[in-house]
Amino acid sequence: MKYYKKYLWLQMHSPDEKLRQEAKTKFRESAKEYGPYFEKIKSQLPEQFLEVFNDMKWFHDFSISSICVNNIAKSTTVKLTIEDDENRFVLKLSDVATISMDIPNKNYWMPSGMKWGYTEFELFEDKWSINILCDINCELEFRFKSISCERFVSK
Amino acid sequence: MNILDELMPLGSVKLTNVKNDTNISLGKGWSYRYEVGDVNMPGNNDHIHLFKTNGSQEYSQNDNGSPKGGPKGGSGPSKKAKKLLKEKTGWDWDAKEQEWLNKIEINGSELGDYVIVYPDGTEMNTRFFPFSMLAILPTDEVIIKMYAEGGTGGQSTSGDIDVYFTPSLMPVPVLQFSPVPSFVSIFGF
Repeated sequence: MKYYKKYLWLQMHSPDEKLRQEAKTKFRESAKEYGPYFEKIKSQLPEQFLEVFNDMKWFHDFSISSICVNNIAKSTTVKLTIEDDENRFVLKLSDVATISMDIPNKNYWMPSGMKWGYTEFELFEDKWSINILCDINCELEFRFKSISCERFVSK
Repeated sequence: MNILDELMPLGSVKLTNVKNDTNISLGKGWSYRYEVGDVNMPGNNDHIHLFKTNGSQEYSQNDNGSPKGGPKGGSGPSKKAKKLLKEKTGWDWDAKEQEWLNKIEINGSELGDYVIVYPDGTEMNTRFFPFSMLAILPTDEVIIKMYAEGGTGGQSTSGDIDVYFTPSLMPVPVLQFSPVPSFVSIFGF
């Protein structure tokens, strides 16, 4: 993550009050720099996805309930199932080039699951990347060509 | 993609099985996670999640003391959990909640119900027995629950919620109207 720094999120949980406050301020300042960048690129995301993404407040606090990686005919598709109390979505990332999962503490993952924290999109020439910072210090990154979103079911 | 691919994807890796679980341990079976509101996403406030480490309960509170979503797995965090949280992080759950409750205005309406005006501008009506003289003020618990389940978590709006009934202290007569055929005028002309 370039803007939403996981070490700062971790520092927000320090027993040291001063360190906690500093971390919050630094985290906000760094995150603020992402805003103008995302404003510049967001129009190139599919309209339907963007609408859901904004409506769902950037999926903050959604649980990531499954990640399914399908390799078919040399093309990789990743399906992320995410949910909150009222909604369940399947995000489909097509033509995935790279998958990176940084989950330093196994207790944060199977079988504990993860909560979506902060999101960064980045646009390259013909590829997107989505970085998701979860549960303080876990980071997921996918590089892909297109993204779509399906409301799986309303709970 | 053909149907076989859908049913039996080759090289598929699937990770499932989700529970809310630990983040930062408070000890004694409780954990928490603090999150600053995303500055790029208005309406997301700073908040804290308080969990039973085994995932059986979860509660969330915004920094301004308002609830963030409804309680999960219980009616609210135990005194022990709140004490641990305060000791380890300085987050005083009850004080924040009380401060938020103190800012709430409750106004009676002509219909005999109450309009609750939350600090963020959210308005909600409690529908008691109309015309009853004995409508009872909603309790703090009801006020919190209404906001958690029907509020917007920071965005100002107004809305009605009509699922909470407070019983009147004495029976209230309910007027029964007989159906009148639409072609008959009740005034006789």
